[in-house]
Amino acid sequence: MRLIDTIQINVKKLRKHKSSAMFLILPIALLVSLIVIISSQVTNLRTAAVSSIFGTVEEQNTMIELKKDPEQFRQTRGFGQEGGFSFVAEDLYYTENDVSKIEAVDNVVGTQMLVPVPISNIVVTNLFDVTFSINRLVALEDKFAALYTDQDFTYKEGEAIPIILNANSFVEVYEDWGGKSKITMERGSMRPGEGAANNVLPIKSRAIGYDKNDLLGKEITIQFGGLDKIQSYEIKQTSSGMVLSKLTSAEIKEKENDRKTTISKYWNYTKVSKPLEYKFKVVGVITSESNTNTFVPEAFVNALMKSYIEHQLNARTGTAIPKTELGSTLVGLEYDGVELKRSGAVTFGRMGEQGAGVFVGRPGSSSGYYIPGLVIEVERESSSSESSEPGGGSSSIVVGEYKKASVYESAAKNGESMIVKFASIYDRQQVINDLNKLGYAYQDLSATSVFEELKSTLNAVSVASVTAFIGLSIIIIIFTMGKFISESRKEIGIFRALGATKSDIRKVFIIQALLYAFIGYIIGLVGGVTLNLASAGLIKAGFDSFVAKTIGESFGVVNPVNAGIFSTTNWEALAIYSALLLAITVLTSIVPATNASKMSPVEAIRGE
Amino acid sequence: MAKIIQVKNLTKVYKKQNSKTVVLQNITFDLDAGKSMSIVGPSGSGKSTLLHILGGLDNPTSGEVKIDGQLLSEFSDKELSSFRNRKIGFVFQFFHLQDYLTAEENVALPSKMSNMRGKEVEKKAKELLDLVGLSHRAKHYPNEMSGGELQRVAIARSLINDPKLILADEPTGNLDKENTNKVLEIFEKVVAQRGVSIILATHDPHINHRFQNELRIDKGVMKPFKT
Repeated sequence: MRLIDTIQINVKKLRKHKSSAMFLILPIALLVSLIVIISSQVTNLRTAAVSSIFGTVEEQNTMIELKKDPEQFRQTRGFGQEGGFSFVAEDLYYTENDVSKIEAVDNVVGTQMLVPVPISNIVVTNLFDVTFSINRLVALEDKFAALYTDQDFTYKEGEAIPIILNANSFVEVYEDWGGKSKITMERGSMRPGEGAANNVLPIKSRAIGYDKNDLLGKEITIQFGGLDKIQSYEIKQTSSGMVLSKLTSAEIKEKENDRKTTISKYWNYTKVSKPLEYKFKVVGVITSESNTNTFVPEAFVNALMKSYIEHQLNARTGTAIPKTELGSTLVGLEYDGVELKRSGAVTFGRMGEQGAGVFVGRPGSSSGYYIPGLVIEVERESSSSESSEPGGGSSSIVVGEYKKASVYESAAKNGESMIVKFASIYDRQQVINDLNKLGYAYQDLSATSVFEELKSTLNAVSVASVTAFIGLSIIIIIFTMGKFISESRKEIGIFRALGATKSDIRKVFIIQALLYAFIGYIIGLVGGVTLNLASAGLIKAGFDSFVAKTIGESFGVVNPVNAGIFSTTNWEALAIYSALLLAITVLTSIVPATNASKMSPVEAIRGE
Repeated sequence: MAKIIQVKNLTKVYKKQNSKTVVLQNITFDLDAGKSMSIVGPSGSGKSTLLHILGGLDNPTSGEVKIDGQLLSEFSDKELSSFRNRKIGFVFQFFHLQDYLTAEENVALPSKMSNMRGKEVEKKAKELLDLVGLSHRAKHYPNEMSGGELQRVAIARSLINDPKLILADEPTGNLDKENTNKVLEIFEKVVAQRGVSIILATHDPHINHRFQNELRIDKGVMKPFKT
């Protein structure tokens, strides 16, 4: 028999026996529409999950931040005890040596030392009603930015620079003398960082309130450098303690003039006192208690440092600076051929520069003036055999003014913390274990198992739905075709009597299965796509509440999901299911159809 | 005269577990081409089985069956199907038309199995419906027709591929006298005009006189020929 004739016969049969045909058509339609919905929504949930959770959190969890804890060394080395003071740089900072050790760990794909930009006076002028300064501005490479933001972190010249702010730096510093002009601090209350001292000091600070969502996307201006504010009080040591006396505005003015006179000998005062200004766009806000870093792209920091030093060099008058004044009267950065550091007296006359603690300028050392961008070349101690190692320390022998503006980029850097990135979230445990073995303590607190669970649930659902689809369609086809064939016994006998071959009979029934399955498939497809669209809102609501209840609580970075995601039909999966259904129908119907072809025509005709 | 049927020592035994049923025993006869023959016997005498064997639907246990000079036992299943399709026309007691096909489509059905198509088949189906007096019923479905009409459609169907032999199993068993007569008239006309041979099995002793030859069987055993 020709294929077209078997199709025609089956179409005619279907027209006359619609209700019987529904035994196959309806289940297939139901199955197909269910599979349309399930396969689409599983994919949609996955897409949603990726965009709202995994995309950021998974990427985030391929990185950890290692931190040196000075407190540990204080205890083990007996810091603070009489005669027990023996700090070496390695105790406080990670060095190139650590980088090479850590990068040798399996599956570690990169590290970044977190080094604060060595500029004092980094001030955000227009984010809040009051200004605040950033104490730890840290350079971050693009590829590590995902640890703190899901947005673009590339530095593009001429565009607002991406910045990840740190809420810990939202602190306003102000003076409050309580109506007095003299404050005495007794020796007992003088430990820095303690509440007692803070309360007594006239310099106070308070946190600035903020709304995280409001900050994201905002453009802000930051000033770098410029001259420090002249300290508004004087400190005198007495036998009972320290006495702080408020200066009058005339006294302050006088101090300013002194500074101007000193600086103007070597620099154009107006130029050198003018800070650099850049525009930034907030792409993230860190709200962690333990992290005090504010991040900007590394490429920007290199450019910034270069301009910063150039700015200083451009402001120079022709007058040479005597070596004796460098590092004493005029201070800035020190470069020993390896590292670029802030010189020892940088904290003079300034408040709150080192972290969150408040430091009081050391008495007697306030004679120097900080020149933004000034690089003083000093001689490196060569007693150490590994003189090129950072952290080797430098002598105080001043060589002169260093004039290469790009020094920052090439200088070695040491950091108190370091980001370690590994190949994938699945390597996390191994990398952390290996790091701990190497002596880099890291306690993993991230609840990554939540994602594993969600992921495996979705995977299980898709595996289950494929399996169920295959299983159910086989059962439906075997069962209904069996029913059709036993109802068609007589017809088979007649066809055989009229001259149909066994293969004709087989063909007729396979075509019947295909035709009915196809009709069911079309109905199911239309129904499924419609229902899929209709159920989008419901599924989104479910997803949102799931995310809010589980992941949203433990992880801050959950993006809202676009509602459109759930109205998507997964045509790709549908194509696969369609092919699967075709194959199953043909393969499965071969069995009953072959049975049909083997029926004895005599027995089929007989028995009215 | 060429023989359309040559049957020699045909025996059919049905085996069912432990019991054996002899349905046909030592049947030997032949039929000239273009002649008609009735096989008469009570129900259960083996008439249907004999027709099935002649039509290649069933195999004899032993003996030889030649149709149009060809030994059926030498055919493969596929060849047998094609042989049935081209040389044999079956007519059944219960008509066995497809309820989802019109009269015309039912008539044309066997031609589909030999891959014939198109206008010629359609034309032929119409002619045959005309022959059995049912051209006006061409587009009707079986459930819209009477028993007599259905049987005439079935006869038209048996003729579509110009067979040499028609095997009719109790074709009048479900018909009244008038329709029986109509059916027999058609058979006579077919034999006379088309040179088709007919074997008709019946338990009705009143119709066998209209056939040129007669075979009587009872309990699978042949009775003497009518001459």
